[in-house]
Parts: sequence; structure tokens; C-alpha cells
Amino acid sequence: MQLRRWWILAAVAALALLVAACAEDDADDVDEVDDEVEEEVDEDVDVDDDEEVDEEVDEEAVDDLGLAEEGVLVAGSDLDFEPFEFIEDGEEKGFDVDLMNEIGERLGVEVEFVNSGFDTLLTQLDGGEFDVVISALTITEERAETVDFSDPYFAANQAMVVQADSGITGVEDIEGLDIGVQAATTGADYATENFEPDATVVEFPGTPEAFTALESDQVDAVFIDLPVASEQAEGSDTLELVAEVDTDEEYGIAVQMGNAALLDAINATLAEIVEDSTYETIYSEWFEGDVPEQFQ
Amino acid sequence: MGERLEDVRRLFFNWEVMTATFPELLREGLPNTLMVSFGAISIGIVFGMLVALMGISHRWYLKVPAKVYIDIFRGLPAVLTIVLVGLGLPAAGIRPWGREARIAAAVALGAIATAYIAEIFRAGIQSIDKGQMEASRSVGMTYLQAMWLVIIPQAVRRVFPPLTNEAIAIIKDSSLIFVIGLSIGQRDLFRVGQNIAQQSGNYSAVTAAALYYLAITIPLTYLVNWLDTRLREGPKEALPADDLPATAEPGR
Repeated sequence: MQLRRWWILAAVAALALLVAACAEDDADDVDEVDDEVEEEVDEDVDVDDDEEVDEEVDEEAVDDLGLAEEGVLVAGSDLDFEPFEFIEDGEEKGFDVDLMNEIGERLGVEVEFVNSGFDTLLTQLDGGEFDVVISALTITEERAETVDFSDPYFAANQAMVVQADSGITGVEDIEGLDIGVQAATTGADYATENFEPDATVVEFPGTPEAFTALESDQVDAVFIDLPVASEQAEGSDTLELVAEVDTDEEYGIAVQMGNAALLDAINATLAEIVEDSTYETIYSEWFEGDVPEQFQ
Repeated sequence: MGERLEDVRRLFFNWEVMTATFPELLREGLPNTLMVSFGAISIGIVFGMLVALMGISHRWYLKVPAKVYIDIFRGLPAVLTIVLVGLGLPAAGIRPWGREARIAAAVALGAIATAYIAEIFRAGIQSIDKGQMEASRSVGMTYLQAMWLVIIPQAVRRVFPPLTNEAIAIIKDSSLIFVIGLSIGQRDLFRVGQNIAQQSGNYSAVTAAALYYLAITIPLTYLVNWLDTRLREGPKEALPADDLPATAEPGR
């Protein structure tokens, strides 16, 4: 009995040490980040005397953005949607990621991405876990009932991808097919409205599952956002993009309902980014072809 | 604090959303969840017994495959097993159930259940006193006869509680089958709830689904407990006097 008690004591002590060590680490991390931010601000002020006024305005804006944690803008995103947002070599990358970082930089805040499932993003935003959601999120009336959307920042249409040897040539061939979609996306809604009951719409949680199912012949086609569809089709020998469907889709950045300060700041910055052609630079890094007129 | 609690209530326990969700859950989600779960549990019990018997065998060619099987399927994340069965097998050209995701899901969950249930049965069988096997053999039974007629009936009775645990785990894991793609009509409780949550932007629909899970698992627990007691002690009137001394040592 004695022995056992010692064991328990030792185990508890070890656990306590571990917890303490972890906690310390975290504290250090936070401090470091704070220091960095401070340093950056200091440097800016020292070097660019001319811009001091700008800086002050920015800092004031930071205080008023209504962020959960001052100086950090937490962005919720489903980082599994190449080329908009994905993780490569342990880093967040993609069009949305670059755009959000640019916005954050101009607002003088650090953007921190939190990876989450597409279908819970808006609930999490509503619950205060994020400050914004940027995740190739189409602006819809339905969604606008629970969150506020920024001005559109991307125009995207839908497309259908099939196996190259399937003989399917377009949306007119869908009779009797199983069509994979990503749940809770506009593509899913469009497919359900327009393809059912001629075809069966099969919902998947993410793009990897949908395209894996297509390649393993569990569905006949995948219907999804055009940029994602072309990315997948180009990256594969066996898949082919056979149809583009114009759905007048536009993506927006979502903020918590009523957070007007943040929304206004984002909209103003977005307009700036489009105006000084930074938008074009980011766009051409991830997509081929011309920038749509509204963003030129 | 009060405001935060109100947020929780609004986001997760919105009674209006929940009541609006109940009928669809009952119509589509519940039958699919039950089909997949009980399919998986049946597969698990049959093959679990087989793997358990292989595992306690002294012949290496029975014992080794059983151990390897248990190690792998107990160790893999359920989601991966479901994807490998639901999307991997068809990719390899093995598609005995066509595109029926629910059967693929039942097989995948059944494969996981087999590993866990095999260990449960093994523990049960090994908990039966060795003397019983020796006695059965000495009256002329073969090993398999002794196993089937004497050891296994007692072992199964003993492992009812852990078997119930496993059944509940499978019922809950059936919420993962969405990963291999579900069309309307195939959706399980979780997916139906999630779907409505997406449309309404309110997660209470999933909470509503959660109530259905409780409505399956809690009665199941008590049913098995009742059955367990009944099998141990027989009908109520035949109860022997409680002659166990109360020796429960505090702190053990």
C-alpha cells in the first residue's frame, strides 16, 4: 500500500511538472509575439517620420476593430480548398490567405489562421471563436441572416470534373449519374436544385474525399468551385474538367453580425487593395487569366 | 457570464430549431444510424468470437493473424478505416456492395468492432477457471465441444458490460460515415442534423441529433444491465439470500 501511494504521488508530481512546463512555454510564446509586434510598431514610427500620422490612425483603428484579442485577427478557414486555402509544408497558403494577410498588414494586426471544418465555420464565428471567416465563402442571403459579409472579393463559378475516359461531356449528360459535391457549399445547393432528381447528389465533407471517390469510381462527377475544379483536373492525368456553370457566385469575408467597425475597416482595405493593383498581384499568383473587371 | 450562457443556449439549445429537426431525424437519420450500427455490431460479434478463438489458440498460424488483425484495426482511427473500406476497396476494384455507402460503413465499423470484441471475448474466456476445461476434457469432450458448450456460454455472460460499451462506441462512431459520401436518403442522424445546422446556421439541429443518440444508448445500457442481472441471478423469486460479506475496502 505504501509503495502504491508513492507511485501515485510521483505520477501526480510528474504530471504537474509537465503541465507547468507547457504553461510556461505558452506564456513565453505570447510574450515573444507581443515583443515582436511592439518592435515592429516602434521601428515604423522611428523610420518613417512622414508616415507618423498614418501610423497613429492605424493604431487607433486597431483599438476599435472589436477583436477578441487586441492586435490579433483570428481568421477561421477550412484549409483544405486549394488554391484558396490549404496547408503546405506546415504553412497556410492560398489566395484567401494572401489576401487576408495583406488586409491584416494594412490594418496593423497579426492574422492568425485557425483551421476548421467548412460546415462549422459560421457557427464558430457566431460563437466568438474567430474574428472573421475567409474560406471561399459565397455570399448568400441565407448566410447573411447569421453573419455580416464584406464586399465581394472574388467571383467564382462552378465546374464539373469527371474521369477522362467516362464519356461524359457536360451537364446535359447527368441523367442517372452520382454527382459528388462538398457539403454546405453553393455548388452543393446548385446541384441539389438543378440536378436532382435526374441525378443523385452525394455529399462529402471535403474536397479530398469527393475527388478520391471520383477516382475510385464511387461517384461519376464532382461539381465544385471552378478554381478548385481546374486545380484538381490539371493535377491529375485521369480527371477532366468538362463543364463550367455560371452561377454568379461571389465570395465575401464574414464577420460577426453587428461588428461594423471591423466590417468597415475590411471593406475600406479591400477597396485599397483593388485600387493599388495589389489584388492583381495576388490574383495572378494563384490563377491564370485576367482579373475580373470588378476587381481591376 | 449570463450573456455567455445565453449564447450557448442560442447556439446549441435553440428549442425551435430542435423541434423542427426532430421529424427528419426520425424519418431518415434514425433508421440509417440503426441499420449501420447494428449491422456493424452483428459483424463484430460473429467475427470477434472467431478472432478471439484464434487468438487463444496455441497454433501460431491462427494466433499470429488474430494478433496482427487486432493490433491494426484497434489502432487505426475509425475515420481512416471507413475511408479505406468505403473508397479504398472500390479503387482496388473490390466493390461487392456497389455504391451503397451504408453497407461499406457497416463493414468498416464491423471490422473495427471485430478487433475490440475479440479482445473482450478473449478476456471473458480466459477468466473462466482452467479446471472447467480440464473437467470437460476428462469427461470426453473435444476441445471445441468444451469451448462451445461449457466455456463460451459462461464467458459471454461475464462480458456483457464491456460488450455494451463497445456497442455504444459503435453507435457513436457511426456518425463518422459521412466521410465516404452520403446522398439524401442515406444520411445518418449526425449528418441530417449537421445538414439542417448548415441551412439554419444554428448548431441546435446537431444537439437534436444528439438526443436521439442518447435515446438509443441509454435504454440499451439498461436493457443489457437487466438482462445481465437476470442471466446471473435468474428470475427474481429465485434470488438467494445475500450472503456476501460487505468487505469493500475503502480507497481501493
